Amino acid sequence: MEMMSGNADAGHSGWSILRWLPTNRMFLRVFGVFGSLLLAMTALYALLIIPLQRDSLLKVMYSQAATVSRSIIQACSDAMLTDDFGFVVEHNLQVLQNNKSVRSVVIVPRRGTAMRIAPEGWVMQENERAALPATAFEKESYGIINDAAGVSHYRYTTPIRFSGVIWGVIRIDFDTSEYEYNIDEMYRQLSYISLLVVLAILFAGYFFTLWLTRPISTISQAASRVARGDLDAHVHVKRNDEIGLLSRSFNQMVDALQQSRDQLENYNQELELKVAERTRELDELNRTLDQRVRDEIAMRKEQENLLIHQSRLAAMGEMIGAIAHQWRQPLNALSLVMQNMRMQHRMGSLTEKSMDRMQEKGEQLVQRMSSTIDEFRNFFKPGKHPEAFRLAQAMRSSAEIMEGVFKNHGIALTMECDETIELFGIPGEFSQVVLNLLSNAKDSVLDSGQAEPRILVRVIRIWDRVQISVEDNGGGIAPELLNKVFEPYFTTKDEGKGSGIGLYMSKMIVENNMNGRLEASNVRGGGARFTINLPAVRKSDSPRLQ
Amino acid sequence: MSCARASADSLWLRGLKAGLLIALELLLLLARPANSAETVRMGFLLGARRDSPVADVHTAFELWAEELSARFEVQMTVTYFDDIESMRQAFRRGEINGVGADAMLLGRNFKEDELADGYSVAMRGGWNLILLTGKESAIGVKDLLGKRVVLLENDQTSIIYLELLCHRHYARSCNRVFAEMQRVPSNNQAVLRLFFDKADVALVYSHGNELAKELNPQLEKRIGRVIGELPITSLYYAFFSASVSKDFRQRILTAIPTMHTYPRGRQLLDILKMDHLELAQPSELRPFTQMDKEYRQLKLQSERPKGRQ
Ligand SMILES: Nc1ncnc2c1ncn2[C@@H]1O[C@H](COP(=O)(O)OP(=O)(O)OP(=O)(O)O)[C@@H](O)[C@H]1O
Ligand SMILES: [Mg+2]
Repeated sequence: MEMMSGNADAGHSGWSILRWLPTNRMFLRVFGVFGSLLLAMTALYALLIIPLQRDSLLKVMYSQAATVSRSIIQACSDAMLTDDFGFVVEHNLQVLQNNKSVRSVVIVPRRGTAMRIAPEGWVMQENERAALPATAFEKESYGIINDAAGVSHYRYTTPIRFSGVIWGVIRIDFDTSEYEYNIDEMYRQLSYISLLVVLAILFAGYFFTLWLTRPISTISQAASRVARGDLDAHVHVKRNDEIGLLSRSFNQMVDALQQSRDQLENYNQELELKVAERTRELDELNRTLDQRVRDEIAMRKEQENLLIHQSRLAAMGEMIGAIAHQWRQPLNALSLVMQNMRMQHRMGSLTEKSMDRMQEKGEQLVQRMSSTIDEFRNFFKPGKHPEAFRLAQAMRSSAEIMEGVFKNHGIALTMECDETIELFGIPGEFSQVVLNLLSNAKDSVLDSGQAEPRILVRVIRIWDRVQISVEDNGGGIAPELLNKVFEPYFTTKDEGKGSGIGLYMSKMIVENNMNGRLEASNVRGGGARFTINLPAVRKSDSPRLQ
Repeated sequence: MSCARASADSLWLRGLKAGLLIALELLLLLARPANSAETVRMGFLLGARRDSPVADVHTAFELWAEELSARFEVQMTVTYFDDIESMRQAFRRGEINGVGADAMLLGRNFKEDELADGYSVAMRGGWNLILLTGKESAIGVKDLLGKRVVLLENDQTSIIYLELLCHRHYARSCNRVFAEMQRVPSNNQAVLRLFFDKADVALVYSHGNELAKELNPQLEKRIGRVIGELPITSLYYAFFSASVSKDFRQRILTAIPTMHTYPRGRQLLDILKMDHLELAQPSELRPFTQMDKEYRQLKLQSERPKGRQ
């Protein structure tokens, strides 16, 4: 296999391999799993093989023991039957001499003393009988035992039988050193195998794991390079397996990534262009919007003006009413002068002097009526430019217009005003506001059928602000309507009597044109109070009025 | 007895044969620097039986001998004889210049002056032939009548000694003195038969008795009373011919007693279950020849009245 260029420093010498080893967790894991699997298999093999081997060795021991005992019994059968123990001893001594693996032979006759024969000598030993297992005269027994000195023997005990009659028991102890040697040998072999396995793990496992994990680590390194944004990172693993496939797909992926990044960049550029275009369009839009806003404002202004105009028309109606009220008294007086003249003429008492006095009187009355019209015309003369004006004057002219109406209806108007206060604005508009408030108050007190209709106008100067309040005793405004009275076209009055524009207009004039505030509230004792709050013009601001 | 065959060739017989061979090898080894002109031509009586262990021993020692002769440039020939007569003739003709056999046969067939010094097979406990009985028993050498005796089979010395005793004290042959004559292949077995009351007396060599007591100290308490004894130094000898020069003999024989002191020699002695080899003189054969002579005379005397009857 071929390694990628990016990992060229790894794996060229043993030292760099060692350096490479601990850092690669995948390598360690795969290596560990592979190794422990092999070790586990070896351990399993050992676990299976040890008992088998031990068993077969014991079987070998058993067959050897059985053969030796059979040959002894056979050789000594005559001697045993004739109680020729001398021969038995001698024979066994020779067996012991010729067969070094036999440690001792014990012969226990049913009758007679037991003999223990060993290579170094023999002895008559009665306690050997007691040492036999309980079933020794019935069946054979065998196995590895440890004697008092801690030496292990393979002990084989079998009854000696001649034509069905049990003569005695033979017990042979065998040297277990060969067995132990074989067992040791087995363990040694197993440890060799284990060692081989460990070596195999170290070598085969190392290279296998390296073969398995290195391309992956290569790919992972390349992947982290890609993650850092280096799209030139390619993996060169030429293999015909999944790893090769992986590396190819990785390269394809990186290529695709590169492509899509290029596309993205193009797209970005396009987007930037589009954004610039849109920004331009937006700027355009903003500019026209400004214009539109201005247009809109102008339109509003026009509408407002229209409203003002409407209200002026309404005020004119009021004015005509007021003129009619003003003119009623002089017209009556003029008609009385005329009747007097006629009567004096009929009676002949008309003299030059009385004629002149009556003419003067008539001219006086006509003069008065004519001045009334002038007065009204002045009031409604639309002022175009805001200017400083005297508050008291403006209020008096409004009150004068209403004077006739109030007198006719018996409404008491009380006005407290500081002559020195000046305001800044269009005096006609302000007069109109006051006129509106007075007119509404008049309507309210008349509507409520108040026995003593009363209107109180008060002006208070607080520091640099002026507060003008118009208070009546006409029952006030329903609380739920307090917010609504300033809305345009809101009225509680009958068709033809009220249009609902008066208060709206007044608020517009005070708040928009004069930088003040107009608020409605109710007063104790049943009545409404409208308050105009305005900035006062300081004396230093308008020296020309001094 | 059916199991007698199991231990047919007795320990000491085997020992003898092999011991002689070892001695020969040593002779060859030591003779080399002395006189390369002289050679060792050993005659060896194999005895009636040829058991495989002996054949194995032969082969092993022949190989060893070959190796030694090759290394030390000594000429050696070994001739095995089946009977003493042919060996005696070969000796007389000079075909062999050394003979090895058991003492009785050597005594009977060779004159003392024909033989020069040699060596014998020595055993720990000695070679005295003793007649044993139980510690508690009141049997004396004169109370053997009707008793059961046990002795080694195929041992001329034992038989002649027993016959001598019988003729001496009862003037008749053993089988007419003893109620039972049991022949066993080993000293130990003879002692054991006595111990287990299968016999009243046992005729054994002292080293065999010692060994039996060593194997089971319990024996000491019950048996071991000696009622007759033939004092001899060994049962097996090997002698040079008197014609072999004294120098050559001496040089070889001085090395013999040291055989058990070096590993290779010790190893061989162990295989053959021998203690060691000792220097011996032809005069040591005299007890055998005298006993043989006395027996023959007594036998003749005892047969004469019998013949008259
Ligand atoms: N002083 C007052 N006392 C009681 N109610 C009042 C008073 N002033 C105004 N209102 C109420 O507020 C309403 C609105 O007043 P606004 O002056 O705007 O209209 P209008 O008087 O009905 O008609 P116009 O447009 O002719 O004046 C009135 O219809 C009346 O119900
Ligand atoms: Mg109104």
